[in-house]
Amino acid sequence: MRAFLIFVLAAGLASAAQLKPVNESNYASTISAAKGKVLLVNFWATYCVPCRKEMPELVALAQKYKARGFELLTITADEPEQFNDAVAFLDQHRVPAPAYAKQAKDDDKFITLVDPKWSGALPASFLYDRNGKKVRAFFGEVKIAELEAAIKKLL
Amino acid sequence: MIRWAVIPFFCSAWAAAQTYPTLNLQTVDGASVSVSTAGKITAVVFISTKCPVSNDYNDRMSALYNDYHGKGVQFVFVNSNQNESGAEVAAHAKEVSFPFTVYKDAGNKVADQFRAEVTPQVYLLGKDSSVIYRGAIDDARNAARVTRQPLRDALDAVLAGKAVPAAETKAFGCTIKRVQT
Repeated sequence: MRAFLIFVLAAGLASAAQLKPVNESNYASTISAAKGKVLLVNFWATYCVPCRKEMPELVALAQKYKARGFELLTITADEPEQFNDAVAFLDQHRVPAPAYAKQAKDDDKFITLVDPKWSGALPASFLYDRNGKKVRAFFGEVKIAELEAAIKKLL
Repeated sequence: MIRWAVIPFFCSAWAAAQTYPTLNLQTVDGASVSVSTAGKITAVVFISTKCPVSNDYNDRMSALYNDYHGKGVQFVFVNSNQNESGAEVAAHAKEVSFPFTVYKDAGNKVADQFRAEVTPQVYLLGKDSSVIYRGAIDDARNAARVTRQPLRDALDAVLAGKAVPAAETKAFGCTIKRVQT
């Protein structure tokens, strides 16, 4: 029974094997797959202090509004050498799976594809409505109250 | 009123082996951001909204960005002056139509890390995040009198996989207005 509970808990969290690659060719389809839900895409990295600081609050929002159709999708900008650290961080903060890793062929093109106004600095979060349309971009550490208000407006 | 002294700055080689893999800065709205330089050629440029020397380089900085950003060079324009607010930086960037993002440097921490002294002043980082060129954009405040462009020379060299022809030049401009300690 205990083993089963551990399995159930672990199944909902990210793990090293579950860091899925995202790049120029599958970013749009990754967003589309969440149609019907309000989606927050958060780009972060282990070296980014404000990213690590805001992550627990993003997870709390994800848990709070999950039943109403809100989903958090994280994409780390870490290099493959840091993936284990990234996964450990995601596990520690119970970040919902699946979690992604940016593995673009051309970083600049990918960044522009996500948002032409994004410089690539972290953290950066993008809020999509239930139709998969991007409605807000947050550059830098997000103001949680502002983000929550934007999410509630879309739910 | 602040007096904008135009001074030469003699760079030292103290930090030749130092690396800068992450730059912790702020957006003009005050939000914290981290910029990674790992694996990228990165030009860190300290600039000002008020310094007349820096402002004389606005068009040249835009041209540099437009010429090299598409070639894979990452530009990080930094305003470390404590007497220039994020709102002023945003308004200035809009006024002069910068095609790039300008970040604030609260407490001039990044300027301190690089020991940057003036605006404009450039630190070009290689893919290992170490400084491969530091100094001026070119050799004349008046664009019509430019004879040497050491930053462009360094960028062209590193993009071609060659050593930069000059690793250091004298930066000239206005002193960075640091926090009073």
